[in-house]
Amino acid sequence: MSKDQVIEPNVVVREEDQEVLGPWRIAWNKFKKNKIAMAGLILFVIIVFAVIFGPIIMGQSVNDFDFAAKGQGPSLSHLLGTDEQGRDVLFRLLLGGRISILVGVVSAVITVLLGVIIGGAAGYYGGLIDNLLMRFTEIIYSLPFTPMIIALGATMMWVEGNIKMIVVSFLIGLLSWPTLARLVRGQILSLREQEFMQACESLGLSDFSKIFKHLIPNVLSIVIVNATLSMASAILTEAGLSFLGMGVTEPTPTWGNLMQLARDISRFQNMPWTWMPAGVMCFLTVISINLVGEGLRDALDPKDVR
Amino acid sequence: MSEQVKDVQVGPNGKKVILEVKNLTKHFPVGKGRFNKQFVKAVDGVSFRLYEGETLGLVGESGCGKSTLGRAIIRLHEPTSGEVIFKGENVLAKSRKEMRKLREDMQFIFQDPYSSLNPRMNIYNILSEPLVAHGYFKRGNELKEHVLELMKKCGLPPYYCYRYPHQFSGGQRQRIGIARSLALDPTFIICDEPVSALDVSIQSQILNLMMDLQEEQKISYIFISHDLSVVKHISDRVGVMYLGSIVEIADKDQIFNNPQHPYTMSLMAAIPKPDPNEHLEMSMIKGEIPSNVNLPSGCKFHPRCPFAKDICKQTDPVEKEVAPDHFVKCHFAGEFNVKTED
Amino acid sequence: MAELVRNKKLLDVRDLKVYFYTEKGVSKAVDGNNFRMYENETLAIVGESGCGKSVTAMSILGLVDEPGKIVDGSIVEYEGKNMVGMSDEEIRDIRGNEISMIFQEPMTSLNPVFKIGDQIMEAVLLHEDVTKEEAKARAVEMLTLVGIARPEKVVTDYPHQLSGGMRQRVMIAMALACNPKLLIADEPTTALDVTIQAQILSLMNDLKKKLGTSIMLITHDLGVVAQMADNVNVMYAGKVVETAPVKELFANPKHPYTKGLMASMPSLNTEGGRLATIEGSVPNSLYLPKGCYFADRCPNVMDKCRESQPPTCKIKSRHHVSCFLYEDVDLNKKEGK
Repeated sequence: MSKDQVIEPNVVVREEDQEVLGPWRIAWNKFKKNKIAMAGLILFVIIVFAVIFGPIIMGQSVNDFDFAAKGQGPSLSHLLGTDEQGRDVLFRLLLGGRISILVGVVSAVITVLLGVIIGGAAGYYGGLIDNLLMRFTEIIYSLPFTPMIIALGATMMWVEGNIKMIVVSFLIGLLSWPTLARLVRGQILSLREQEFMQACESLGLSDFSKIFKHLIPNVLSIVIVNATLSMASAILTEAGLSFLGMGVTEPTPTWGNLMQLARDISRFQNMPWTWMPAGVMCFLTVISINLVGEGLRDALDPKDVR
Repeated sequence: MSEQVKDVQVGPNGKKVILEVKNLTKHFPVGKGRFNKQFVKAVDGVSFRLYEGETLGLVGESGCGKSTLGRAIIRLHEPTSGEVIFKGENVLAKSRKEMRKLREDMQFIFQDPYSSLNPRMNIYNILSEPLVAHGYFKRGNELKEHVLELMKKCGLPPYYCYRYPHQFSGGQRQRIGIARSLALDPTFIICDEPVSALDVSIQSQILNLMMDLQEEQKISYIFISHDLSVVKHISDRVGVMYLGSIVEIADKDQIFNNPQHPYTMSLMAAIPKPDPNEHLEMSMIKGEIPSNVNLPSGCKFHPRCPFAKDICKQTDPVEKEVAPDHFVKCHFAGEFNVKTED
Repeated sequence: MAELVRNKKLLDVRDLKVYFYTEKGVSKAVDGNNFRMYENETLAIVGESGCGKSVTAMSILGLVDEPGKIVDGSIVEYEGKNMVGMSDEEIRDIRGNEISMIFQEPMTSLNPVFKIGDQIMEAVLLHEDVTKEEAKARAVEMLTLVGIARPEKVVTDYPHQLSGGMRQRVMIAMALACNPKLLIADEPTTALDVTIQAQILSLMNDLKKKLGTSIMLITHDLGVVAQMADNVNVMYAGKVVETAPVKELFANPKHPYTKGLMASMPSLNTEGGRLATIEGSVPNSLYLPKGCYFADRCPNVMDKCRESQPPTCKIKSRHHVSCFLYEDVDLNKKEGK
């Protein structure tokens, strides 16, 4: 028996009383201390709640037209006024937010899935697989994003509104995974050199537990940060596409096609309530997500978890 | 098992041979040239035996291939050629699945206490993982008791159980690493510089712990280190490596009192003695270690050797047994009369 | 070494305190250090990692960065100027010129994109009024001095073309290029192999004799201390616990920590087998106890050790220990100081 660890009574108390925090808990504590990131998180949560529950509370549907109140400015019955068809702008704004954020989430999920699987496989297996996968990644990476997405959006013009939304999410997701794939591959390559991965090998652990218990948790921080940021950029891309009329189209509202109303000069000048809120919401959402992402990046910085 | 189980061999001192390494070689390709491929000869034809319950120290300077040798033995690096026979079984002929089983009995302790533990797992998970993976325990109370027992053995108090590696000092982390390697109750452990990242006062704690565990559990160690004085304390036999080969291997007393290879002698002379009255012998050894891509001709040590003669430049010396179980790779082995002690 | 006649005082460090203000609290890296350095001597500062030995050196060079701060004390150089509180410009004038430093990892302290010669010349040109040709000649001369064969070739090499031992020689050449009075060497041989270490250590000893530069040697290796030092400071948790001339320290160690350190160090001179240990580990510098910092690990701990800080007792001339055990033999008290 080793008698090396003779611990003085006062030391035992002090050590045992120390709070035990896991790495995720530490990251959360650090995130909480970051006021700007917390503000971003609160703003984002409010927006998400509003777009999910707002339309339900208002109890309208996309096809509710109030012909008596066409093109009216903000009033008590229509807080943000109505558009030229007599539809409530606030309702359409919240419903559009649902779709915009959903597009962001879906394309971020696709980005993460493809990025982690392709980058992870390339890094973990190396050799020929790595070579093939990374060349493929580079091909996708070198496609000019904006022209590609406009062209693809344009060829999909015939698809109906609701399905169009899914199509747009996939397009964005399928074109934006290469950055994440490269990051994940790099991270896995450096993790493979760490001695704890060799320890897994020498303990005779299975590939399954090596990948899911040892590698994935250690790339998760990069993935989370990247996912939030790619969600923000997906929302912007969708807004841009819909603004140009290549994305989700009427009658399904999104922030992009609501902003499209500003393309008409008379509406731009005379009915700012129809298009301005969409622009503001889009801006607030993207900036709140980016603030959260930056906060996560600082909080999850692996250099500090030592 | 498909392997023929050979007779367990017995060494000249009557001890059982637990591990036999024959002509083990590990070359790493360097450069991307498709035609003139060059190789780093990290381990270049190493043979030795390890007896049951003993500690074999492997010393050498950086780049001598000692870590690669350790890793090649348990196939963390796949050897280029050679044979490794562990308890009568040919390790290099095992399939991945058979290897996994065999690894229960041969473990590794790593040098860097910071990178050798997964930062996202707590101590309990780190220690219980191999036990569950090899089917010794299901998750539950029994497992927990076993893990706590293991921690106690390595001098870790039970309340450390749910802490994460970043909350520990280097010495405590190294204890965790040792506990992990003991989890599967191995009879053979390769220790790759386990104390060189630690402070002196912590280093001695860890060395003592390792010696206690060896006594308790009859473990055989291969102890890799760059520090001759550490090796002197823990080893029964010592092998000295230079540029991928073992140049001298013998009993501890033989090596320290009667070194026969000029490299062993200069290595000992170069260690600063903790005694201000004894002056550092201005090292006999000149220059620096050559790259192991283009090895020197003949004896690899000749460019730095103070006693080099013409023959050393031309032919690589063969291993000579100068005393029972004392092997030296030098043309002039046995002809030196250098006493280091007294 | 002159035992009776002491050389001129080079550096006088009084009550130095360097604290790091971190998120988790105040870390007392150096907590009341006192020592003097004399011309032509080698002072070794020994201690384990985190004992504040490197921070002491950094504060002498004015290199303590945020969140660290020198909160108290003085560092008086040989001309009587206090270096604490000096302007950046004044410090920069001293740094490299009168006091220079070499580090543990020679690769990271050399700039990888500049040639060796240019890096040495830069140091010379910065501090001395010489032409480029003279500076270059100096660079070659310095490289010759540190035992580099074919210095004319090496000046045009880049750091990555040199081996670890060569790089450390270059670092020494660079540090000595302006003929400083004091060379601070922070673990100069820790990253090197023993045979190369022996070469570098003997080079440093030779240069000290030749150039008369004092050396402050920061190390954790008692073997290196024994071979190199004239005087030794043993540091523990930010404090100097024992200071003595090297022979006196090794023959007659007093502080329980010094004794423990010596006993726990494996050496070629001792028999193998179990080593003596110092139980436990170094206290966290954020939560230091109010008594002696070594009390928790000390085999001779008494009640009063946990209550207050130990006094500095004089054992002999130039041998001082901070420990309650030696209160009775304290010469300071007997001499009525």
